[in-house]
Amino acid sequence: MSTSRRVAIVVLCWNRWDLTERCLDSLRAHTSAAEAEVLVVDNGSTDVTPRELAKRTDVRVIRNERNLGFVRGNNVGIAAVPRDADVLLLNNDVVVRDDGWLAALRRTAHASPDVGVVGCRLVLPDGRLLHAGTIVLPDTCWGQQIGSLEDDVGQYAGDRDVQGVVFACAYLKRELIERIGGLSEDFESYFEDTDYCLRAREAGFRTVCCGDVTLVHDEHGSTSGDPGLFDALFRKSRDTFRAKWLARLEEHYERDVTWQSILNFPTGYAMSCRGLLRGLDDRGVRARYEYVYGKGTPFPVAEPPDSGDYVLNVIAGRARERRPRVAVVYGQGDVFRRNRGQHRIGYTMLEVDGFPRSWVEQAHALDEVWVPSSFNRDGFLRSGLKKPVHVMPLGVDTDRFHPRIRAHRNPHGDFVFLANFEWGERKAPELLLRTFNRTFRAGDPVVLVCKTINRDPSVDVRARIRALRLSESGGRILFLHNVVFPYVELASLYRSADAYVSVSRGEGWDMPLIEAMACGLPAIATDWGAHRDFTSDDNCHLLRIRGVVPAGDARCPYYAGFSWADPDPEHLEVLLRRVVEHPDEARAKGARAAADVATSWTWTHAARRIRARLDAIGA
Amino acid sequence: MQTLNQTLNRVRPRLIKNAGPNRHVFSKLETRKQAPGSRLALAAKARNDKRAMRPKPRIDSPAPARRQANTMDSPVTPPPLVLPVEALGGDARIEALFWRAHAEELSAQLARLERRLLALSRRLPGRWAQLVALDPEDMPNVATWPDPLAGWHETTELESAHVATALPRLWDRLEPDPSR
Repeated sequence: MSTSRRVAIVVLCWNRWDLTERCLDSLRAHTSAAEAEVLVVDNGSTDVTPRELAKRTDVRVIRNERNLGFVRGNNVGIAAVPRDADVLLLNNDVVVRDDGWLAALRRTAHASPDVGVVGCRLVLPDGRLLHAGTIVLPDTCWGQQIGSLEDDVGQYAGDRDVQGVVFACAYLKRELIERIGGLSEDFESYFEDTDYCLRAREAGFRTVCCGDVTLVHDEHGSTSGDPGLFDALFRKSRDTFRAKWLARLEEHYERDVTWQSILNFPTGYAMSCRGLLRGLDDRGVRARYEYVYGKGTPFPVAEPPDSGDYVLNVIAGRARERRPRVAVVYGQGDVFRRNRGQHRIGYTMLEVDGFPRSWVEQAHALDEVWVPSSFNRDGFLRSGLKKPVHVMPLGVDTDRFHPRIRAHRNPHGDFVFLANFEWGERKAPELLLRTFNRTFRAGDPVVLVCKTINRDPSVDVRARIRALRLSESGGRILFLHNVVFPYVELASLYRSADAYVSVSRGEGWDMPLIEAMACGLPAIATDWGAHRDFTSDDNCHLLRIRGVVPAGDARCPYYAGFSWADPDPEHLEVLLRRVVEHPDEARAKGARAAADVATSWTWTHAARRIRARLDAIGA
Repeated sequence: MQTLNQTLNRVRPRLIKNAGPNRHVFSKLETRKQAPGSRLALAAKARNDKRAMRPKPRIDSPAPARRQANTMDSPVTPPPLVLPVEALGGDARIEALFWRAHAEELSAQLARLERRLLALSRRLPGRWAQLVALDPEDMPNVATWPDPLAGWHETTELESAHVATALPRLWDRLEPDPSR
């Protein structure tokens, strides 16, 4: 495809010369005249803008006698662009800060004939992420910016298909403009961008967010001084949008499911539930979320109402169906009985080689059982389950966990191993700490960082560590204890390490492991458990076990009578050394891990499997 | 003979000037000027006056066997020390020549040591470079193994934090702290 096509950058302005001047100066600093013509549409400014624009020789100016609004003003600019050029709409409150930005957008636009609109990442002046695409759900017809107000750690890199992008920066390919014309003048400001992207989709063009380009955006620069004006424009445009698109947005949903689970607590089920629900929505499954725990369950606590996430709040806010056609209980097997569906599914996991009798009994009252791994499928069958068992793997958010996430590397150059776990027998912390301390010397440029959590008042972690009598001349270990990072920053934690180590005795999935692998870290993981479905000798250093032994954590009643692995400390020693002494091999495994996860183990893959099963059930 | 500390004091100004990013490493050393009339001052003066003579072959070097025996681990008691100058018979002219040659030899040794320290400080990471300036008796106090439980606050409460601030604090703990 041609990537040499000329581009015209259309900058619409209305007063606020300070913003316009800053925008144009940044363009001049980071864009060559050979690459693009800059066309400024002055939307009837009454301040110094006309006079100042007249002084500039690096832009072509079109002056509207009055303020035509955002849409008509931009359409004037689009119409003035030569018919052989693509168009890039740029708000005057945007600042370009990197060379190559335009070439990257053009490259994405011409990567495939069906790409029509290309947007980019936008950050606020304070560095927080503002936009990495947009999503509008029919329930609210509220355009939500993806990634909005997250700390920017480099998430949403690369090219991603999105429902829409904001037109603070939008690259419109000529072929698309020829097909559908300019912005819809049904809108004055706001929603015209999502409208345009949906029109593009109807015409067979994709909208892509190019994560390799990041611009700075003072949001609402031109209306920020007048909240009344903003509200009026926004409401009017939203009503227009709803009338035009609501029915089409509803058509996105082809399956319905009631999803009974846990969402707003920092538990493994809750975190993975969030990924599943977002993925299902994207795959055309209209999920209705209900909290499955609370009074009368093993976790008798009410759930906080706010998930902090637009899509999840919408899903949780959907009206309950009185008798759902299909309902999934995603949680421990002792709440399977709360399933309210006509077709009843229990979706669960456990870290040992079987399932408690009470779970199996409740499972027998269901129509089918889902588990995330073949390890758990075998466990259920071993425990006597007679119902169909389907493997529905979990996933990982590769927009947030990938190898290009920003790191905070150790400036002293030591090789950093990272372990991330809740303190407990299952995670074998004593084995890890003792072995690491024995394997290395204090003077070796190697350190182990353990991010640990303990919420059990009966466990004194400090005393446990002290009892290990770690040698001062042995490998150095540091702790981040009971520290909670925003979820998006976990990727930054992983990227700040050189390798990840999980010496667990058993796993139901091992989300931290797959997150670390998605970030491209070479990992050491026990050769036993659910994670064996996504690990192999090619993408992981598999830690041998000495056998399986009775699971010995008295705090977890579900483990009683079952077994888990006994990881081999001598082999751990060998692997720790191997990772440090063969860094090229380790890096290659890390790169392979990231590639494997991205191509097979994302939430999109997980949701696709579930969607296929729901199709088969006829949900 | 010069102690390591005296040697460092002498070369300190040049080390600070040439040490680049590791300049702070040498800033804690105390400056002691050479006392007027000291052997090193006299040697420097002699060199400046261009009256130095070709040094004689060294006669104060211990024999190789002796050098081996003088290692720290050796239980061997050295024989009574006879200074070479005492063997010169009290001749003032010869004694002056001896001291001049000796001063030049010391000066060359110091210059070599200075180059070696400078090269070492440039090759080492900052946290290790500061060890170059430590007195030998302070070396054992430098912690290279950060106590994993230092500052530990046993709690079941979770504390919100950011990676961008928590990790740099963690990496700081890998720095040896000579004051401990």
